[in-house]
Amino acid sequence: MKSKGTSFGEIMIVFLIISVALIVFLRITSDYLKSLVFVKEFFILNSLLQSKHQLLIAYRNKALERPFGGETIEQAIWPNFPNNFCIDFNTSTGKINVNSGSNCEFKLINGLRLKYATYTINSTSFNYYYIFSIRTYDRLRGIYSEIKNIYITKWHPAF
Amino acid sequence: MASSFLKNKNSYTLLEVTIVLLLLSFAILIVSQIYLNVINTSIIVNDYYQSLENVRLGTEKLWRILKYGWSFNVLNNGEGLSFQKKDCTTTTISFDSLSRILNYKEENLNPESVFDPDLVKVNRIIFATDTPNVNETYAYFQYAPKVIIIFYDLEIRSKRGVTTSLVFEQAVAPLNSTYTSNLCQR
Repeated sequence: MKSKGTSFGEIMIVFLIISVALIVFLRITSDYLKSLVFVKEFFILNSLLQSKHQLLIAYRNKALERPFGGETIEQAIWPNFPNNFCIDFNTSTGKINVNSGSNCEFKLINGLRLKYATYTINSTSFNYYYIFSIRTYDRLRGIYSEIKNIYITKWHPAF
Repeated sequence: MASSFLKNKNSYTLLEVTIVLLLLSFAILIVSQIYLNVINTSIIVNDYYQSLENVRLGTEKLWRILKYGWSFNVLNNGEGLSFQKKDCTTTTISFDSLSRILNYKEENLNPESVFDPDLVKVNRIIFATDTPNVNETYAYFQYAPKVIIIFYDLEIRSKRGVTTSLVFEQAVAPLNSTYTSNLCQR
């Protein structure tokens, strides 16, 4: 006997095809939005990474600001960095602060804190230079940005 | 033959055809809406990439100029910065809060916007420099700021009117801050 209607199997196949098409479309949209969020977060993480790198150089250069006489050059121009430390800039005092610690919190210039992001700086001391590595980490998304092997001399060309 | 065709009871009724067409229209409508959403999203994401690229170009330009600058002075409670470029040209960066634009102006030249105003609006900007540890001004490296911090609160825009905020910080340690004398003040 010839069947006049559509079988259950046929209907299920049609639904399956429509569902797959819908899932693909939604997935494309979601991936687009995710990529935007990731690009933005990497931009922020890289900016903060560069900012910490420059603060390190500035902190080393701050040692040049000393009264002439009374100190040896070595005492004045060789700053001490702990193995793991946090570095930030205080806008009210105008000072760069270095404190021991890891997984440091970001304190932006107007007191705003980036709670989801942390950073870690490691230093290894040699006779005339330090080797630093800096990592900024987004705890919400599990992504990080990192620079390794930053060589910064303890001495300065001014001397 | 015509009469047998009209009397064919296996054909679809008008109601059935109408329901099928209705369902088909709904399906096309839903799929086209989803497709349009995908296209819209891709356009918005593309716009954001362009805006972020514009922010990157603007901040890199500032970074490069400030890195080789001299004689930095913070203006208007942190909303601007004046300095001398590598070639000793007096330059100012100032924030226009009405048009929400960050202007860059070299001496005797017209101001230009750091970011494309159609893509990036500036909500707030703060410039800060460190203070020297001593009052001595014998050598430039004693009183020159060793770091310039710029805090950006930006609004990046897509051409479709969708906006998102971008808050970040930039620091520059000027190379010349370690020189004994300021070469622009001979």
